[in-house]
Amino acid sequence: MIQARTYTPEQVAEILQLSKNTVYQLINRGEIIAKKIGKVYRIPQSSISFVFTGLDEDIYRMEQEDLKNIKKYRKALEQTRKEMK
Amino acid sequence: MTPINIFLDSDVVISSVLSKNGSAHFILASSMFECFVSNYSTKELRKVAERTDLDFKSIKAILDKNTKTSVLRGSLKSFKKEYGQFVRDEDDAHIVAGAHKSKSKFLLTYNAKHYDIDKIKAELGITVIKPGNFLQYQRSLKKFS
Repeated sequence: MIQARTYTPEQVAEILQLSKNTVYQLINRGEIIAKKIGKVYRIPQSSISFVFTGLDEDIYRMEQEDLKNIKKYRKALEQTRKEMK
Repeated sequence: MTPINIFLDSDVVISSVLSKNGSAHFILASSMFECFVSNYSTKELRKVAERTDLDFKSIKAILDKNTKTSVLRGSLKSFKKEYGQFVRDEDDAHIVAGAHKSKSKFLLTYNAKHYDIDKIKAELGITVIKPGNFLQYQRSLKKFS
């Protein structure tokens, strides 16, 4: 089942501490990616991911990719540094 | 546009080898940044490869293609003495030494907690930062979209 969260422009305005009009302007300029369904907009969480992670969605994904991989080698690096003369 | 000098901790170099979809690889492959490692970085990366399944040839290829080497003259002991004050563990001192000698403005690492970030910024003028945060910062300056 799909669990992805979406927000209304009003909710995003509150989260970002912007006016509702500014959010609509940002949507029109493409700075906030939103989907128009009928007459209303819905904004996926990924569009405002920096609120939750401090990073834009694409950068967050790249960061997670690195973090997932590096764990395994961290210990080896620490051990190597300890032994280096 | 003059590229920004950044020094890479070895975990960032390893990350760039492990995935082409990560922040580390993006930064290394970008012409906007002048990436540095030190001769000690290369030495430790070779040793890490020897004790893991990493292929040093791949690491070397990335280093040769995308980084410059800041040659640290002196012993690790001397770097610990001079730069030990900037790190939680003296074994990491040569990374700060490399960043300083290469005149880098940023030190990219996935282990920022190992460094005394405030002291490094205040006394050496180097920002210690994770690759993703570095990219976010550059995007905020509109260095890339």
